[in-house]
Amino acid sequence: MPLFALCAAILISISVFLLLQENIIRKLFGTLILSSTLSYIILICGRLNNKAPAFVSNNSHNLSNPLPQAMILTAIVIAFALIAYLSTLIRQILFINMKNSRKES
Amino acid sequence: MMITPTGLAALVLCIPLLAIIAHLFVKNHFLLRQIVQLLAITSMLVVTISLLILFNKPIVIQAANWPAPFGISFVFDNFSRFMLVIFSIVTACISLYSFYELEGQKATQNYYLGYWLLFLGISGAITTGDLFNLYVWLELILISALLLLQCSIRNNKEVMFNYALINICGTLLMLLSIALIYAKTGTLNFADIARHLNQLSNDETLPIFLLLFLSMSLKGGLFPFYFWLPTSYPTPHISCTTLLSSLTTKAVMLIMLRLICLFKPFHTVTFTTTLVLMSLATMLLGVMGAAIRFDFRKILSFHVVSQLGYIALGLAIKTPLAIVGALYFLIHNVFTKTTLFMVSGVVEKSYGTGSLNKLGSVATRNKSLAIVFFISAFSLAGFPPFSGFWGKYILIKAALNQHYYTSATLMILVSVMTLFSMNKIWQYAYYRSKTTTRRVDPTKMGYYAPLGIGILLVLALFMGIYPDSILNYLSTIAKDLSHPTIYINTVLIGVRT
Repeated sequence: MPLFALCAAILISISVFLLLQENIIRKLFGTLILSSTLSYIILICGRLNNKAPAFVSNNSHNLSNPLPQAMILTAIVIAFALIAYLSTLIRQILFINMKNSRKES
Repeated sequence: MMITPTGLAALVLCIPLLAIIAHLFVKNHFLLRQIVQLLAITSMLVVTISLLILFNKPIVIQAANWPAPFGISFVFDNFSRFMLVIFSIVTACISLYSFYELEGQKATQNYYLGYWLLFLGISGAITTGDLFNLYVWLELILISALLLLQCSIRNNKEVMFNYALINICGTLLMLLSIALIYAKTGTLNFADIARHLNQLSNDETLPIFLLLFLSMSLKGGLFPFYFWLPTSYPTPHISCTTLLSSLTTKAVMLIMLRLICLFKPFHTVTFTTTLVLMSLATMLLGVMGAAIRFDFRKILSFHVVSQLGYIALGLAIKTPLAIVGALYFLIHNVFTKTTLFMVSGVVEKSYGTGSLNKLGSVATRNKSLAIVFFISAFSLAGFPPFSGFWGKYILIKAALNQHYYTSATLMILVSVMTLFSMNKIWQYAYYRSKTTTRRVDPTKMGYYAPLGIGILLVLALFMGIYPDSILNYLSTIAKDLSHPTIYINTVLIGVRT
């Protein structure tokens, strides 16, 4: 368990570092890593001790927790949509900047 | 055929979805869009008002009939039903105004999609009883806000990027806190979390809940995080700005109110002190930011921030009186701020500029507009016959009852400064004689914009002159909210009829 927490901490610090950079592409990568790390944290928060898949086998003990998977799936879909949106926005910004710099030169 | 309460309540979430689908078919035709919009908003008004009038007991929808802590519950108690009525009235007026503003503008054909998506997000977020579901609704609100900004910002894409990035970070922080709350309590249902928190000590849970509060305050625009708000609100069309300012941040405030009343870690002294300090800083810095701006919309946007501070102070004091004050102030603010933004939009459209340096003598050239602005501005500053006075009076009284003397003094100071910047707009744009600005099309106002502004103005005036009409209802809401056991029993045990 401490190892998982350490991994999460390292990933979060990488993403915060990237978010604080000035380059907007790096900011995008920061949000990407942050959102994936959060999925990972949700997985840990649902406890990892149990081995058997839920709803498949009949023995009712030692089943894995199905709820974090549902939450992660939702979070991934939303994060994917927002990051796709952000990248198109970045493309537009870079395009406008390029046109402006061409006008100046 | 009998209409069941849950069926009627589910319509609140269904009508926006149907309206989105209908708008997809009529995207390119302005008249058809107007008809669809009028039909949808009228049915929304009918549904929300009948929900408020027909039923006294709270209505709980358990999604797919899963019992409370396992499934997602939607709670339509007095609080959320009343707020839905207020929001649908305001959005109806905004859509009337949008007929005036967006006519003949090709780029804004996606506006109504964003509008209904935002309404869907708001009604879901206010009524939901599940923390993860709340996160999904807030993401929906963010996406629809981005859609609204997208259809009206042409060149200034950096504003949108900042708005998107900051709000995405806010929701991701919220997701982190939700994951940690889930790890700590093992449940996501509001009522169930509140029940489990009674068995945990505050020291364990306070950091997680502070994280939740910080992410909410980032979305709601409180002190250290308010900077995104005044930069993004003045840029789009007024129809978008009014929607964003009257729905998104206010809805976040309402959710915060519900969570603060429910969860035990929010009742600690540490949290209350943090929230009081943050709200005071928000109030002061917002109004100071407005003092140095010289643009109609920018001044109003900074006042949005300042007034969020008042609402947050009401949430911090948390006595029933303070909750009544905060809710009353919120409703007053939604009405008058929307009116002011619309007036600024009309002025901008008919004089071609919103800069106070260029405007002049609107009062003599456009008397009705000047009267509307005068009433709303003085209502915002808190003058006695108008609604702003009662909101501030109740908040100050609640602060004095709980011995927050500094906060009460600062509230009075901030309202004086509000008066100063409202007076600045009046002085420069309306009163001084300067007829050099051109006037674009004075007659083409139509019926829609005056109707929208008029309804809001009449409601705000009515709130000011007969405050009892609404205060009685608000005090029952506040009584329900300040006893969390009522909410917990409603959701977990069910409504006894």
